[in-house]
Amino acid sequence: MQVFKVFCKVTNKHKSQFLIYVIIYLFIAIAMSRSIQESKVMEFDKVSLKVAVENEDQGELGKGLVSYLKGNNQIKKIPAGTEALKDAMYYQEIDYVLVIPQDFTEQFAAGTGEELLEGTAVPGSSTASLIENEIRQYLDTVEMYLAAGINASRAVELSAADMKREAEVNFLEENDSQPLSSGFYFFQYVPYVFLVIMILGLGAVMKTFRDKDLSARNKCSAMSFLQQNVQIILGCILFTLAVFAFFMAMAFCLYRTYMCSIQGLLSAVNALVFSICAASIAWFCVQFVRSMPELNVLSNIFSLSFSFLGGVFVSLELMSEGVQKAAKFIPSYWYVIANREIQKVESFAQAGSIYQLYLVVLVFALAFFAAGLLVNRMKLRTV
Amino acid sequence: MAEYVIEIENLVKRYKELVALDHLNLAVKEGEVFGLLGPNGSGKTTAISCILSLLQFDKGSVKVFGTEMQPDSYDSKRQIGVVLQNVAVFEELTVQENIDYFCGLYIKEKEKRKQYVEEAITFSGLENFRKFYPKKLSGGLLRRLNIACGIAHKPKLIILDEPTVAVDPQSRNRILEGIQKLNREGATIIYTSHYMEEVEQICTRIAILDKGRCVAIGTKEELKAMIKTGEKIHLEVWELKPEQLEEIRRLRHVYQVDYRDGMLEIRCSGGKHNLVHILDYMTTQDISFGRVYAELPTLNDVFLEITGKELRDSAE
Repeated sequence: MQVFKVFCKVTNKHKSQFLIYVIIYLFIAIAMSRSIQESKVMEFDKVSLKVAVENEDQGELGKGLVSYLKGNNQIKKIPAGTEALKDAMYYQEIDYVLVIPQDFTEQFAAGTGEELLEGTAVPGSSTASLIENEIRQYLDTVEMYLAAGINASRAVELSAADMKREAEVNFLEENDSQPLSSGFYFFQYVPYVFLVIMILGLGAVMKTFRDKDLSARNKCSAMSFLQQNVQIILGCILFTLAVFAFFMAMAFCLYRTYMCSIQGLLSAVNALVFSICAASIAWFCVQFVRSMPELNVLSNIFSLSFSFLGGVFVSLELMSEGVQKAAKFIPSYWYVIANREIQKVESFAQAGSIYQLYLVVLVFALAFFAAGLLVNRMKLRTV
Repeated sequence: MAEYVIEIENLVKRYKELVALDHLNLAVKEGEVFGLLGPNGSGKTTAISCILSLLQFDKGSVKVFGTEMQPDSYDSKRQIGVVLQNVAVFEELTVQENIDYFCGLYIKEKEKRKQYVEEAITFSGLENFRKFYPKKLSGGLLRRLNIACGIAHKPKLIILDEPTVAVDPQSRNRILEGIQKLNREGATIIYTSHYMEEVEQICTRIAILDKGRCVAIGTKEELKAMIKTGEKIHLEVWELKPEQLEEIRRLRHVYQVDYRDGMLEIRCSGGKHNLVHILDYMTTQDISFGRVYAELPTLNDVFLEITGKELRDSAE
């Protein structure tokens, strides 16, 4: 076990470097999972504005407009005097001032009324466009009925009924009313973290053995190529398990309830499967590099592309169909799918599809490992 | 045991258009210190790589200990010690750990390995540096460590590819003495270098390589006997008339005379007492001269005469 022993010694020599990677990326995973969870607004609230209205119109339309605005906003009296009005707007006691002129109903029916409305908002404020949009929507509806030959009184009545209808607001993901736990978000970022740590950490150790001169020297030895590779792979397995164990210990400390649930257990297995896959990718990458900068480049390419395309950073639903199809050819996609499916599982009996997803990730691991082995074999007689 | 430890027949290795080894034929006998001499790019390292099966060659055959060398010829590899041109050690391991690692690739028994590692440390004079990491070692010590890693398992055949490159004279002498000691202890040595003095000093038989071909092979005496130059005489002469130069050229055994910057170089082919004859002539002609020295031909002269170019191109 000469090669394995040296593998462990080399790893031990780099341990401070690995710890830095692990702590940084663990911190990133925790920070990202927390920030995403906090930013997930699971309810939809309409914005209610403070609108000061002066209705000088005696007709139905003026009353109808005020009544409609009252439904969504807080209607206030216009403070007396220009200074008082300015102060009220400056101190945000009111967001918008609307003056409905005399004979607005008649003039609107004649087709000139809308321009007569006087609206004032704090300059640069978004509230103006919100309230103006509401007014326009209401008046457009009334105008439509008037154009159909319906009288103003009836048009106001019908418009009020129409405007009461509201669009249903649904979130693209998490249709279930149950909010997702922090544990879910922690595991969501595992592919990125594992890929970086495995390629940079494990890659750095394996690269030592792949050094041109050392590799040539090892090839000259009496220890078979297979035996050397087996021992290096054993070292990789140990390293992978150590990284996995560290992350799971952290997950257990931070999300104990989640980790003690069936979801936690399945997520841990999912992470283990992906860590094996990440180690295989690291093994594959290291066949092509001779230096740390090259390894850094490959680490960024694999970790970022697999994370973005696989739905680690951006929800899969937000991606185009083409991208989603392409994403099926990367392991992180299947990991993310499994991570989501795990949240719906309530017993091991329901986890059949998840086991299949594990298997898909393992197939990727095998493919990367075999490709790496092939390249390794091809380079056997090159110096 | 076969008479020849290594037999190379018609070895051809191409790198695209470049022919690195051009029908190379070599045979190394057991117990020899066999030198592979040639300028940089002559094919020495490529030949070594083919012998060790590190490179796939295009044509020919390589036999080591009587069997065809393949990447999986582990029985043969077990008996070979390799010291490659570049230092190949783990930066993360100490001197002792490095030697133990490489020895462990051949020797499984722990006790035996421990003993061999100690012997290798003593042999290479690294007793005081056993706990040092390679980064803390000087160039010479690093080379010694490289050698210790290659020979710790007591191989029957040791291949050293330019082991003294960028090494101080003190370490170089120690390395060369060590190689001779290993040979005395029974190891067959293949030594590649472009330093002809080293090759002359330690090798019992030498092959001169140029452009992937073996241009000459033999003992250093045999190689020197192959060329016309038997002796080179140098005289510091302040003034020399053309007719005097012509007369010197006609002296017995003299076949080439060069007079440049007050230095007269006379090449003689064989014969005895050439210097006496030349000095006689100088005295009778009343030609004033200063420093006088005579040289026997070197391997550089052999190379120069065979290939028409200097061997020392890139040597220190």
